[in-house]
Amino acid sequence: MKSEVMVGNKAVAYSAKLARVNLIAAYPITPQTTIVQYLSEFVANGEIKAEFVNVEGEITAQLVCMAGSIAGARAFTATSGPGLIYMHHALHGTARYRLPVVMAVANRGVRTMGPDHTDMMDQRDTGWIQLYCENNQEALDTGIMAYKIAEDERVRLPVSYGLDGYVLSYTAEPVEIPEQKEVDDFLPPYKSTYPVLPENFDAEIEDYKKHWLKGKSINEPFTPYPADESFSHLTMVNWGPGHDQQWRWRSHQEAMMKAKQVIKEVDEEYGRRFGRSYGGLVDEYRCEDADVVIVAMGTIASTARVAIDNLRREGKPIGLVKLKSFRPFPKEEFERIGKTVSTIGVLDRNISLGEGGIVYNSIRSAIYDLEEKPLVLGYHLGLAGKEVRLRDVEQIAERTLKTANEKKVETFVTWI
Amino acid sequence: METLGRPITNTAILGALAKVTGLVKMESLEETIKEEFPERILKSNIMAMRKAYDGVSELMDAKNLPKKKDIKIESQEPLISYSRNVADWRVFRPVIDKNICVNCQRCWIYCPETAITMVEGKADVNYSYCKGCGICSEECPVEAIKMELEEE
Amino acid sequence: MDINGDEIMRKKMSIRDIPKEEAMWPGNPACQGCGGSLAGRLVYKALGRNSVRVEIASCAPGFMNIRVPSFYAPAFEGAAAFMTGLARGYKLMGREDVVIAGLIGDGGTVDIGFQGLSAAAERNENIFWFTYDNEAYMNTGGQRSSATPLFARTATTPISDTSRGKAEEKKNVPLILAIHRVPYVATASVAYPEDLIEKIQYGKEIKGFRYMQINSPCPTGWGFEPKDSIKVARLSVESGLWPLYEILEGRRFRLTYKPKELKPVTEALKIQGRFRHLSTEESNTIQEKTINNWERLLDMDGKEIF
Repeated sequence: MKSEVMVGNKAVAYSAKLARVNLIAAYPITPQTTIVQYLSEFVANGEIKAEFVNVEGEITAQLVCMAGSIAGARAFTATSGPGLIYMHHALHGTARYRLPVVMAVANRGVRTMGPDHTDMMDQRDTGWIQLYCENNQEALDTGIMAYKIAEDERVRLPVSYGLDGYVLSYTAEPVEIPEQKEVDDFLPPYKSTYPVLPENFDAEIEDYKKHWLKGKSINEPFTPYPADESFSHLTMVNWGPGHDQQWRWRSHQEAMMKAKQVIKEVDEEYGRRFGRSYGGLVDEYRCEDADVVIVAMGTIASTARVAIDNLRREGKPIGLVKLKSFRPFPKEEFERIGKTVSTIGVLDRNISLGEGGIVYNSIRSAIYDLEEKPLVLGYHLGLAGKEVRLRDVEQIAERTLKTANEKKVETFVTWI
Repeated sequence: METLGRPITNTAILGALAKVTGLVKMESLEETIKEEFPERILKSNIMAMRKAYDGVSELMDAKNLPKKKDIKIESQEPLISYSRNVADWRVFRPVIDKNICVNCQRCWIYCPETAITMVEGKADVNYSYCKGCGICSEECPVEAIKMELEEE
Repeated sequence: MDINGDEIMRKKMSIRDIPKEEAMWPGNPACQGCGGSLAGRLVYKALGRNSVRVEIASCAPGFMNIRVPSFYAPAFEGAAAFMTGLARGYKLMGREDVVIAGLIGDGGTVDIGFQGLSAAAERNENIFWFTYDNEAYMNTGGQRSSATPLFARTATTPISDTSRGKAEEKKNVPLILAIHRVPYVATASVAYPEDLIEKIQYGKEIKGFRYMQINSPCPTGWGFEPKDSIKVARLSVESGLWPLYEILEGRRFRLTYKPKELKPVTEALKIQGRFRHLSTEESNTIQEKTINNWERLLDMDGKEIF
């Protein structure tokens, strides 16, 4: 196993290379630009065999990946911040068509250059799976796992994974690079299930008609035929009796829910093969006997581990829940944790204007049905790239502990 | 068709509606039309309305209406479900005089529906798919195609 | 300088040379007399069934009976991007024989799709782009696009004393794309099917970015009887409003139909309801611009233009 000190962007490029992507859509935006530059070098010197498309904008980048995926290519692109929100229109398309495209996002604020999570959070309703990484090693590993999750039959959804801009994307850390052969064993080649060959057209139409004319009752959940309404030559077949217009949203939601299990399985298998795993949907650090936990995503989690260690040395019963999968949201995990702790402090590197912290609100919703609910406190920090220092996290941890002890809430939301 | 010369049914339906529902009087309708419509089409529209009003027959109970029989589709192609039968769009249908047809194939190439095929050197219309647009009749260089009013 | 021998050697196609097989089954919900439906029929007849179709928001999804794998691109602006992705994907599959084609409306070409179109042309993607030009956003009720001609009435350029239809001239996409140095750009008309099909069969064999803009009269939007669709298309060509030409490798320009004398534009315009409001002065302006343009094209004919 090779080991190299490399910046996060290079780790992402390596993950795409090892995953044997063969269609790359490239467009520059700080702070992910070097991802596509590294990839262009890999393609130029033959280390990756891929169609490398220098597109003219992010929407095109996403659409190229989408169409390529339909035609059987394993597609990859990367973006950040404003590029991601520009891509929003096309993100809905990839998710709607259930295409296993993987996208790396060097998290950057939608309105600023500095890192925060507002860019990926802004896409939370597009139907993409969203994973967050706390260091370059995790970025590389997640980049490989992402394809296995996306292409799983039970899922078939696009996956985006975030690494904090600058803090990870342009900062060098030691990273172990798995062997190509081992990744090949882990990740089989991609096969498209979509109707793309002209010579099969007539047979596919007949087949499709048979499937739909069987008819389904309006409340019966079912899995759509893989080549569904999105392929317009198949749309034109009349729907069977009892057709439910809502079915696409419903089946997408069902796939998202199934993805929870798939993410855990893939993470566990990766751990067995490569020696590194990340806990699945969440990673609980020193939570076994914790009375209080703080929740963080991305590099803040990395800083938080040190804060937890410092506080534990003082005998304080506090742990960290690192949230890796934001979509699908690990509701069950938080329900379980909520039963054992008195207070949860949520560190949001984002905000939903007019409501509040996004993870904060999700956790509150997750624990709502518990008989004995823990207190949930929200903290905003690191937005617009504001530096998150160890003492900021320690401060948050201390305040959460204080609230737990006094069983009195001074304020529910704090800006650090 | 008789009064307006065009298959536009809006005012005729107003007249019929007035008679059937009794919700509005003919005089009120005519007054409104006088305000809304330009001079040149006023008279013909009022005539159309009146005709429809008078033409409404005895009101009958819907239960007594004859049941619609399943109409057998005449078609040269197997009816694929996304090829719709657009026959009921027609007001006019093209009728080809095969004696005059010279096999120039213009009607065949200009039909937007592929409803015309050349059968033994003469043009032939598939009435399941003809929308009655009239392009074939207009383009035939020897006037072999006439547009005739669709029978009921 | 004269055109190279190979263009002159191309056989002039007659109606009997047109392939008999249809790639389109009958019965679609397009309007009676729809020029776009006919364009779709002719395009896929010429391409054959070993092709795919990309479509976006427009009337084209209504021509649903075209019998090739059809993909609805989920973004209105994304026809070019989607075709690019398919072209690359099919290449990876080893199926570059499949023609990646799209039947795109003028809006998705010349307005919202323009960025993508220009970029795909610049990258010389291996796609064959067909614009069926009905000169407005017809599917949503006929709003003005930049392909709408001067003085045309549309739903967003109505007629009054001060508003005289579209105030700007039509955007000239074929020439713009030719400057991108793409292998093949052409204009065509549904009233000249031999010319249209021959151009497609020629373009089909070329690798790289190919473009064809097809004048597709719209009875509903332009305001004429469905039966006059072909007549309007023909008069537009005969009067010089819609010249038929092709540009090879972005340089070599050739008019493919040269009427000995242009008919007056009023013949084409007066049939169309969208021009009913034209004053004599406006009519003359259109006539003048058309003549000037035609003379410029005659000048360019047979030459290298860039």
